[in-house]
Amino acid sequence: MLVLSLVAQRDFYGYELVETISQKIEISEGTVYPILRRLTLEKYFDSYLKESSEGPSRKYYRMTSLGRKETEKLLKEWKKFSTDVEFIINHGEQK
Amino acid sequence: MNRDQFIAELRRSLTQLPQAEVEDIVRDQLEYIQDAVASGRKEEAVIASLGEAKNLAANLQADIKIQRAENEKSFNKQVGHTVGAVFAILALAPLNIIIVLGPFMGILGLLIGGWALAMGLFASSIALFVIFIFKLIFISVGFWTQTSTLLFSLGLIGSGLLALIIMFGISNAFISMTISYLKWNLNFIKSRST
Repeated sequence: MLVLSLVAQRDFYGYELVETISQKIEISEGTVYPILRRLTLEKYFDSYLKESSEGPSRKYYRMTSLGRKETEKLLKEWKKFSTDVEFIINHGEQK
Repeated sequence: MNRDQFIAELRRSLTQLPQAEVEDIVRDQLEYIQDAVASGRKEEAVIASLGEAKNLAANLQADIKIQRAENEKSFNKQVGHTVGAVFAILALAPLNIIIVLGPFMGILGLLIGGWALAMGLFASSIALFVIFIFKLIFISVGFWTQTSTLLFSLGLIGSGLLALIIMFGISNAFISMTISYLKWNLNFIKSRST
């Protein structure tokens, strides 16, 4: 879901994504690539190659409209979940 | 391990994918390593953080197989792809032998039993019908006996067909259930290793 919401904002390439997420959350790097590939396989992303100034060309991931729909759905679910959790933490059991 | 060793092991492990797909994955990994090294990290450290090449390969192959099973329209091929996906997931973690193979084999056994029963019913109904025709032509029996045998064998053919159709439906449902279970299982494996 993190990957989806980042790519929803702009196009990313692989290492950039991992770096952005690692700044906040500790992740194991090896897990990100299979996720990227799977999301591309499910047509949530498409990818294109772009030359970079530092060396070989980079593969950028871009969100498709299908991916955007899925992201919105997931974000909605996540927001509901996190407000529910927050409510329980702050108010305890609901009577 | 350096980058060449990592890529070599990755290639060795990605045996079940088309060549173009393998090249694409290798390209992506090289780009990633290159970017990480350019940001000032040691090559060995980057590769260590990527995990085992074998695991990466198994993960990618399992994804592709599940995708294939899901998109396949032809029933027979879908069965094959689903079995393939089950075994690809099995390769990922030894524990999976219990949580994937156990239920899968159990239900598969029931399904095969059901198919055998439905086919048996259908075959015997056809046989009865043939015997009836044979009797009609060569042995003359009473009209009512004939009519009741005819109705009985037609009824049996009908129920045989019905059983086959029901089995087909159940098998289809089982396949799509298996696929979503495998997907869930794959997510579980991935999040556990994070």
